[in-house]
Amino acid sequence: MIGLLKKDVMSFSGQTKIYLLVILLYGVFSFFSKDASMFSVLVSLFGAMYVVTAMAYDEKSGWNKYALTMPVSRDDIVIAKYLLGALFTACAFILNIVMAFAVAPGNLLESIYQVLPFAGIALFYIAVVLPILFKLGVEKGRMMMLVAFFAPTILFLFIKESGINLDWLTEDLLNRIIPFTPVFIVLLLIGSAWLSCRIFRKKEL
Amino acid sequence: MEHALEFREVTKQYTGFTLDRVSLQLPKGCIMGLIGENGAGKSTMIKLIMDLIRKDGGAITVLGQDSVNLPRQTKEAVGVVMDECCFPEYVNLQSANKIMKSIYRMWDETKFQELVQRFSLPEKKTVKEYSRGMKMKLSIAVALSHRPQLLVLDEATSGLDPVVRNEILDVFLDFIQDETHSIFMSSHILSDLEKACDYITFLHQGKVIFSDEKDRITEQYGVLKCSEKELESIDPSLIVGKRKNAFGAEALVLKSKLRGGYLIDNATVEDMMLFYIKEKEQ
Repeated sequence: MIGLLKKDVMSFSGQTKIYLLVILLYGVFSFFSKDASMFSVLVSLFGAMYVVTAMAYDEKSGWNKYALTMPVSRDDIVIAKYLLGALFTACAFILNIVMAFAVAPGNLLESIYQVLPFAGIALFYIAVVLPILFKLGVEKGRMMMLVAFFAPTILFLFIKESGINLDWLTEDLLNRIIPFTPVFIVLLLIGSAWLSCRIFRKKEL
Repeated sequence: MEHALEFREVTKQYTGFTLDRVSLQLPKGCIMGLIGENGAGKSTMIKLIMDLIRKDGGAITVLGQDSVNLPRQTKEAVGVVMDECCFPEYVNLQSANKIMKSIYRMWDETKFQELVQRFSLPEKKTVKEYSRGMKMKLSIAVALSHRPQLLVLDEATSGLDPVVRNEILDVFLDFIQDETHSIFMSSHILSDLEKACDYITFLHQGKVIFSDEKDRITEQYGVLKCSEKELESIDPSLIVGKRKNAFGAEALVLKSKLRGGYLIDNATVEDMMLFYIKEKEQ
């Protein structure tokens, strides 16, 4: 498992310069404009997207079938990708806290609260996208990824247009639900990993 | 006798192709060559050994273990070289070493360094910049560096020049000196197999035509050169395949059973493959 993670992290080190340059550029921009939101979106997106890049590398080289000839199980390959996603989201999260704190020094806890949703969205995206990629592969899964990306917006528009009564969804209720989001995300990730394992166990390579 | 690898009536069905009740046994301490035309099912067999695809029937044992969900310990003892280099393009020697060190408990760094030096693999280049030969050499070096007992090689020597191929065959022959070690290799380059193998399995359109000791096969068969008329007088059950040319006829025959003063050359593995396939086509 550690070997698999190492391999993916190493592939990142080959492109660190480009990533760092973009992050630095947006960092400077956010710092001077005193607005870290663009930066947060970008960094979180990088983190989540990196798992997709790592899977594209694997697919191109035929790594997965090779890895399965090693003392590595199919579940190991799947779990390693979730861990990679979590690792990059954690890095993005820390970077975002630093940035939020730099832009508006004051309460650290407030900075954390401010960037927490971005980490949540990144993990949500990983949970939705990984089973699709394990099922279809990165090439075929690309369109589905876009669909997954825009599905929440489309759903929101649909609800709005269809005139479904949402009056019961009061701010008070939302405030009570929000603290449970981390639990929801964790459960979603576990469910997603379980599904990916099932898909990958049956896959012929 | 203990077997390093055994196929018993293994079947795998695809649309348009069936690997049909394949059986073979590779005794420990031996090299078995798998030959067959493109699409005969060689790679399918190798994928089945490593449980990359599901079989539809039969059983495969690898070092005494069922091939389905091979335990880690057994996988550790099998070195595999696929028909393509499966390292992502950014990998270089150093990173390959680091990755494998974390994956294989038995990873032998000194052995790896020794092999990459022997194969003169470039220190700084990444897999992306490697030639096909270099890629195969890297895969072979990796396969040999975790103290395997069984090597499974899919076209490992194809795409390499004769000098390098010879060098690699020497490495394999070194490996087989230990009598607990075995090699199962598929190749198109039949002269390589002829040089190295103790056993030959011939696969044709998903079926095993023969699987036996090489010496026994070459003792049994010969290439008869005679006139067309002479050929017609021979018992057809002794003729495996024949072809006609401007100077007369050639036939692959069971030479041990053929009586009379015929001119019979020793049959090479290539002769056998060509005659068999040609005969089937007719």
